Amino acid sequence: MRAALGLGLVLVAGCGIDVGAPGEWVPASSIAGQLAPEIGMPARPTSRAAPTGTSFRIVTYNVHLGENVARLADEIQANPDLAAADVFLLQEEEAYPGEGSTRACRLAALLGAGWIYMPGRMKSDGTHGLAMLSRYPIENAAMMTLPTTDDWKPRIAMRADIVVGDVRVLVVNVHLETRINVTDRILQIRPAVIDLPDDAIVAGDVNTNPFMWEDGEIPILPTSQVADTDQAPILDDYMRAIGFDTPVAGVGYTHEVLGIRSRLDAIYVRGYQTKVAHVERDLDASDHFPVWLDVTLK
Amino acid sequence: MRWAITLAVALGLSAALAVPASARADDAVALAATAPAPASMARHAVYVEALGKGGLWGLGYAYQLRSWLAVGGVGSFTILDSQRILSLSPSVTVYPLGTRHHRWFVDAGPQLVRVATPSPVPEWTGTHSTGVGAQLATGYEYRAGLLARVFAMGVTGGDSVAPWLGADLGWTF
Repeated sequence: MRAALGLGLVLVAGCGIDVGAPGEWVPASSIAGQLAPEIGMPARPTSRAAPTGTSFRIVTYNVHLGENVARLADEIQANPDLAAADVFLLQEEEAYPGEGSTRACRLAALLGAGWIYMPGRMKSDGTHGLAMLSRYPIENAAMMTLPTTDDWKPRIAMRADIVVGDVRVLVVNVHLETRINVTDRILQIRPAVIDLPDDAIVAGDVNTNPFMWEDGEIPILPTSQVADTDQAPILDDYMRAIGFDTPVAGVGYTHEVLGIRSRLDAIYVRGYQTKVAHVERDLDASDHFPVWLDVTLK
Repeated sequence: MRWAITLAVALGLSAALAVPASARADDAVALAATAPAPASMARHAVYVEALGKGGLWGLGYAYQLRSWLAVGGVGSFTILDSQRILSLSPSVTVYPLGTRHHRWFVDAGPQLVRVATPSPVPEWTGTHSTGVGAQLATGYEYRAGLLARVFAMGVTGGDSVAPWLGADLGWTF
């Protein structure tokens, strides 16, 4: 009995990250070496100006390594809602020297878009990172290394201006750690969003799974069954606290595995009116479903 | 944390498997469904639970009403990356089969769980969630001064059932 009490009445676990200094956006043009970004303009850039009230469709899609580029492009083009999109924010893009060109480059070519591929880390002889595809010119691209621990994978955020005629739309693409608790998730995304201008769109795979985790390895299933531990509405709540709307909060799950449906992907908007949002679940080129949102330019 | 869980499970298993022959000799009488708790039977049990009803761990107490029936509960408080989980799980335990020291048990009861998420940043206030569910567990118990259990369980909050495991190690008196 005494020994049992000696174990303590409270179990404290976790070794996450702290609130650190604001993150630093590094211009894409100043990143050299193996993790240097690749930027390409669309072959036929859309030159139309954007009158007030023009709708702008943005998609976030974790392409799960994007290996089968042709299949990915076919599925996107076969879906009228995705085929009409203006900007794709892609996560888990990869590039390997043996493939001749980056997967983002090939996908962009098939979709008739410009692109920027921003590697976040090395993976064997290639790279793994984020990409942005756009029918409009992409300018002022920059990268931020997100806070992490020794146990997590390196994560980055990328930002760029999408130039729609006279209008510039600041877009931020993020991919957060997988098996972490929501307080660490907030701390990880925070540097990329806390100092953004008033008008901005943040989107990506924020990995808001429905569980609490012990040391990133054990999901506490009983707790998640009884109390609401879904990280998606909590991260939404945080983003609303810093002025973002959460227009895709009601779209439902964007990922399903073993019957567990999770809204892992999100689009947050500040300073713009939003219209329709939807998840396209008829695609199966990835383990995620793409989410799109129509934003009204101003 | 992992070492603690591993240790608890290993202790539970070793206690269950390393039963002395003399203990088996005492087990000649199977549990009678209507039998009161024998006078020689320790009525109280206090134990530490690895995984189990509290999710990661818990402190439990059980009172033996009859040889085949007990009531008790497990409480747990855990802090994970500043999130605080409080769970309370009162339960009723029945022993459908077994001998004096080795028993199969089935345990069921409600669960109350509260998760508080304090804000890690100044620009947000944090949040909390409270829920009521139910759990059903079944497994093996060894009881002879030392209490050891290993069990599988299911927990539901309404929509689905989550499987889980647990192991108890404690004392009877």
